[in-house]
Amino acid sequence: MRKSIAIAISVIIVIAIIAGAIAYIYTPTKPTGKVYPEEVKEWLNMVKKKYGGRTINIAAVSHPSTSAFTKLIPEFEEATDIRVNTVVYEETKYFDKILLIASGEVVPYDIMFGCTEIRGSFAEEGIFSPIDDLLENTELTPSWYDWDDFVDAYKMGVTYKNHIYGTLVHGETNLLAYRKDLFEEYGKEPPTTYDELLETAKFFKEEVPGVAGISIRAKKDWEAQWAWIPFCYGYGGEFLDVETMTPNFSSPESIASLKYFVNLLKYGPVGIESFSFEEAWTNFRMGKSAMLLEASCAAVDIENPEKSVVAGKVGYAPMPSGPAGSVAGVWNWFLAIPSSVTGKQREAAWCVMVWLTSKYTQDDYLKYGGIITRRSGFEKSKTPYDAVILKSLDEVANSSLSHKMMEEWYGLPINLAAGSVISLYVAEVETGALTAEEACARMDEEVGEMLGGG
Amino acid sequence: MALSEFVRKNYPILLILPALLTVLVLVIYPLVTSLRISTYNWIFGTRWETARYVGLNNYRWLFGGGDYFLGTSIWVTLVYVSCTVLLSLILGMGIALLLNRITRYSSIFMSAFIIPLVTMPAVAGLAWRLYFTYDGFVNYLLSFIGLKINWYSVNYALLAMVIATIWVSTPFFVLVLYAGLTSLPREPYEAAKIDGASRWLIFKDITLPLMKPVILTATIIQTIDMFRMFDVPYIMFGGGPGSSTEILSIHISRVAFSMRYLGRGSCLSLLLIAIVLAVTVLLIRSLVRTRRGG
Amino acid sequence: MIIKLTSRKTAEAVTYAVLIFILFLFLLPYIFMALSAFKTRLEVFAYPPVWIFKPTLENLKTVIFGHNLIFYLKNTLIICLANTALTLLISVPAAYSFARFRFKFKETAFILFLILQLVPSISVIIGFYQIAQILHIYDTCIVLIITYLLWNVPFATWMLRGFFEGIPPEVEEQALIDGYSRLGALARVTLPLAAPGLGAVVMLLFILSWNEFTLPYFLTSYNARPLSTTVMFYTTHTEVMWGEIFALGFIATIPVIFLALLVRKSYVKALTFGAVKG
Repeated sequence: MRKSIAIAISVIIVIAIIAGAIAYIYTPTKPTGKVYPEEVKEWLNMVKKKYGGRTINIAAVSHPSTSAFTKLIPEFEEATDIRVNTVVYEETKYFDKILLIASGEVVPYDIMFGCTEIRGSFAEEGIFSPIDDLLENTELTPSWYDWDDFVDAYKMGVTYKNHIYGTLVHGETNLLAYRKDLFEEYGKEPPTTYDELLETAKFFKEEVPGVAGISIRAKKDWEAQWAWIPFCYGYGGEFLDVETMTPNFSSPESIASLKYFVNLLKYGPVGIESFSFEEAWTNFRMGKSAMLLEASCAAVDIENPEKSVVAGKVGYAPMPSGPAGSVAGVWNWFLAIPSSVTGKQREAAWCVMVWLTSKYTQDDYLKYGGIITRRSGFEKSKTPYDAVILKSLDEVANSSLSHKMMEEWYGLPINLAAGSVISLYVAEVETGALTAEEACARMDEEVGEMLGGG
Repeated sequence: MALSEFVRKNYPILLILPALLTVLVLVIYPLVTSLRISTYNWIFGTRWETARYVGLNNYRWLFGGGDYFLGTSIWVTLVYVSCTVLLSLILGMGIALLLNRITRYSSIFMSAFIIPLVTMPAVAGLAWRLYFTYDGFVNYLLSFIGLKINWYSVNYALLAMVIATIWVSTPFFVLVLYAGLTSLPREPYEAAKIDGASRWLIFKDITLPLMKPVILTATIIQTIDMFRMFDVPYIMFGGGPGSSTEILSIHISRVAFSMRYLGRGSCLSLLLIAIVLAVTVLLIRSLVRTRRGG
Repeated sequence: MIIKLTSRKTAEAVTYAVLIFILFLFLLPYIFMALSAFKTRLEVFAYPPVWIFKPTLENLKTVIFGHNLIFYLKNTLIICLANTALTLLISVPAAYSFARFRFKFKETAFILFLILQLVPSISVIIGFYQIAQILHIYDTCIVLIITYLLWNVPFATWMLRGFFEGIPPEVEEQALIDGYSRLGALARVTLPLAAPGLGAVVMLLFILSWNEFTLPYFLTSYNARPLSTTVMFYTTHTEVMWGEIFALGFIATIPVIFLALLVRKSYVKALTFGAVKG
């Protein structure tokens, strides 16, 4: 026994030495001596003078934009003497963590990721503080930041009750991707209405071997309700009757949309009822489905030949419209400042946010894999899908139904919690355990309870 | 002198005191907090001061059918735990017996069998999720016998979860049962061999009774662990499709964190504790009886 | 008529064969995972699965260098080793006491141990979080080392009691007659005999602490984060980075397998002891 312990200890020491050596040899890339234009240099110097020596902690979500940031940070740190730490969490568990922290006294972060679904709740409960004053501060917010350049539709996702709560790092909308080669072969056009969508999906699933009609996420948790909600509003239904502030799942339109959605899933690949976005996208990328109705950020990997066998064979179209009109959602991630951060620390945090999301740094940001959030970024892009996405986004900005969905439902503080309940029941309808009517009735009851304070 | 006298008399209790105190201290505060929260309506993410006292309302909600999925959840949990523990036990026992019969390399085999236990639950969950896709690894193996199952469907998801959990849980039984087998005395076996008893009889009448304390101990511990299992099932199916894999630990997390009803979540976790307690008390009774029987 | 396998060697060979087969089936998911750590994304999803491919080191590189793996590995090692040592220190005397002595409320106390560890992680998160904030040990290794004790101490006590009971008390009587104290007898005689059980428990404790996810996720931020929470770096908003996840899973198993190989010597010792004792 003694001998084993001795061996164990010596091995651990050896491992520790090797680890130390690796850590020593590998140092993170030093920022290259970059040359900045005058105005940028001026601003950086100003930041260094006023806030140099501080430490800013960012709570980030695991996201390509986060990876892009971490590459933008070293040069900022060098120029301004501000130390920036990024802590990364996975998306679904991120909220649990943040909520736990919010229930305590101290929020140990100076910048936090927020998203469209959560902004209502966090703003209402005072976890995030608005940044309007920082935006209007011309000293801290230089001209090369350019707030107006952000796509209008995306700005919806960071605004709550006319206050702005953060700067954008990610945006997505519903996008239809379809196999150009298959459509050509069978003489099909990309569908523009829900009925055409269903028909096309049915055709491919039943007539064409080896290919399913449409891939879409439908898992329990929050995926199912994310996928259903545009259809609901597209049918003219609604999750919430804003006048009476009661849920309205049992309206005939809402029920019809749920039935439609579950029906659509029948023409999807085998196992679709457990698909999260990952499986849905992978399925399409591996060539197993004819269509993909998913978030627009899926397009990046579709066109990447290292991850997709259908790169180059895919066409893109906006979300089809329903009986009541065209509806697409817009979802964002943004950087926000917790309300417990005040004074100079807050201003310093804002400077970090400016650097990471400004128009000037956009080129590098996109180069490192960040997601486009600015109009200029879309316009510069040469990919086949960005033009379609931009067009969709502009349509959304003008569509009253989309506004209704985004403001009435996603502006509601409880929408994320309610989404959990909704997903539960949609999952039951998917498996046939409940009819659409029964599920909607239960949703009315439970979401109503939540609205009333639980 | 009084002190050494005191120490000598209470030696046994003094020995267990550090352990008992540690666990008590670590458990009391959270448990009491849980009990307290269960009488409030506390929205997760808000400060404690904003929570509303609601007395027994949460319990009324729980036992009055307010939770639509409670029945399903309890049933799924019981099925999940019992299947996993039983099958792991049998499999583990079989492997341990085999290991006991070889003379060399047993420790290498042992170390190899540990591997599923060692894999991080998050990675294991993700890996099994990938393996159970329709065009995944498991279906590839099954295709050799002409089957292809849709594991993601409501009929098979629970089975998929059970299989993945057995993979993770059997090594524990192998380890513990093998350690127990190697510590068994030789005499009964030598006597049985002289008597010419068959292998099955030896197992039934000598090995099993002698191993009973170890088997029961391992079963009890693993049962408790299976009730608390969260990461692997959650990553694999998140409780879906439908509610076919909504085990209690996932359900509690959903109610407390996703729906943000901390009060109700605390009630549910107390219910879970009660259920686990009931099940393990039954198992403990047999254990105690065995010990007394000698 | 029962035909006995007269040749011992044949019987043993058959046993080896069966064992290897079962082991192979068991390890297949792990082997596939380890192989996938070296695959490109397309190869991971290929159906039928790809067995022969050109391995790529990209995934390993991203995992080790891109996200500072060494730091998390260091944290995890510290937490697991310290916690295992602490647990043993507390549990061995307790288990010994339960195994050897009779005293009032013995069985009640034992069951109390069991009951106290029934608490699921979810219930304790809020409580522990509050305590950690109050004591200012939030996001330190210490808070994890202490909170893991909640489950590890009852577990170790229960398991060790079983193993200690398997050792006849007569062996210790001999040591006591020779003049050792109770604890001395424990250390010199019983522990070596209980070596297989002890080895098993050490290994299990280490693994339990190594794999714990929920508690460290909520109780740490960036200083004391262990390895188990780093899987989430590779499940992003837009993709699940399978290659990297499998690489991480593969790397994470190496230290523990190493420990298992180390501890296996105690099994060998037990076998020789048994022979001598007989």
